[in-house]
Amino acid sequence: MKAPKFLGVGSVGLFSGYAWPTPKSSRLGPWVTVGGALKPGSNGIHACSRSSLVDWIDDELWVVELGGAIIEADGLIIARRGRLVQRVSAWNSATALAFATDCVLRVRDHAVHSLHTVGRSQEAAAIQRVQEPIPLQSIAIDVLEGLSGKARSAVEYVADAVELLEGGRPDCYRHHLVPAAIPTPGALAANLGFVAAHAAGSILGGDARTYEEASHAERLLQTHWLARHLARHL
Amino acid sequence: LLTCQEIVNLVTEYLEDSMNPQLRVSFEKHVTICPACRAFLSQMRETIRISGQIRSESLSPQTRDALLETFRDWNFEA
Repeated sequence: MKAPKFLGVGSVGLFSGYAWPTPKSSRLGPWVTVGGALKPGSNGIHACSRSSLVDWIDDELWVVELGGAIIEADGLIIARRGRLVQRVSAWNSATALAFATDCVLRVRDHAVHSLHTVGRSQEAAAIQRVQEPIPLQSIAIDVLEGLSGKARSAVEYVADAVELLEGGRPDCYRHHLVPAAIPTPGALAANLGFVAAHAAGSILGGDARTYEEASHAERLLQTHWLARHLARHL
Repeated sequence: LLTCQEIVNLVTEYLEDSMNPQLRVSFEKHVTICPACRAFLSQMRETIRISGQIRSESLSPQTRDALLETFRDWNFEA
């Protein structure tokens, strides 16, 4: 069977540290085989299902062919052997940053919704108008003045999400700190995907169940985003 | 999802592969989405790799004494 597999820059596994042999010219990559019992996260050639792609985002996306014994657990597919078939060129730095930016804009949409529910339509309109992250953060910080409670928290998520997109930490913009090292585009995309899901749960949810529902719905939107951009390559 | 503090607490268990598979997958999901924990795990691995290459005879007497002093009262049973 074939399945998608995320790898870091240089086709290196984030957890195994293994530099995968890549296909040369028209040939497939060589088979990589593991011994011992297959164990999720520990032993085996790991790939993921399309529905769990958002959980494992990294800088390179490959199609891997799996063989031998195969088990599935938690959205992971673990096999006795695997080989790289083809890199999905549609997933690259630009796509990863576009995905991350889209996540930030959905955090903005959730904040807009939250502002409307407390009657702050003027502030909601000001935030909704902006499509670019940096100006969005400036306006979000301006709008924070005079807000309290859940609406304030929602707008803080917007400012934080932009800060993360720029490689900073949520507290950077408050203290004018410059990021020490900017994560790779894949790491940013993985991070902003989670942040958008967490923000959706926190802003739209009220208790543990509704948090989970809103967070899950956001992850589904992200899955659909990836499907729209990558489906014909996988 | 695990917190960053839990990642710090669990990293030795993770690196020694003594975690149950479900917790291990949760650990890796967190590291995937958290740039700071990616850097932390990478630094831990690098520290282990480098310190594993150090041989006692390569240490200066001062460094060896300082290490012995540091670990003299270490409670290995804790």
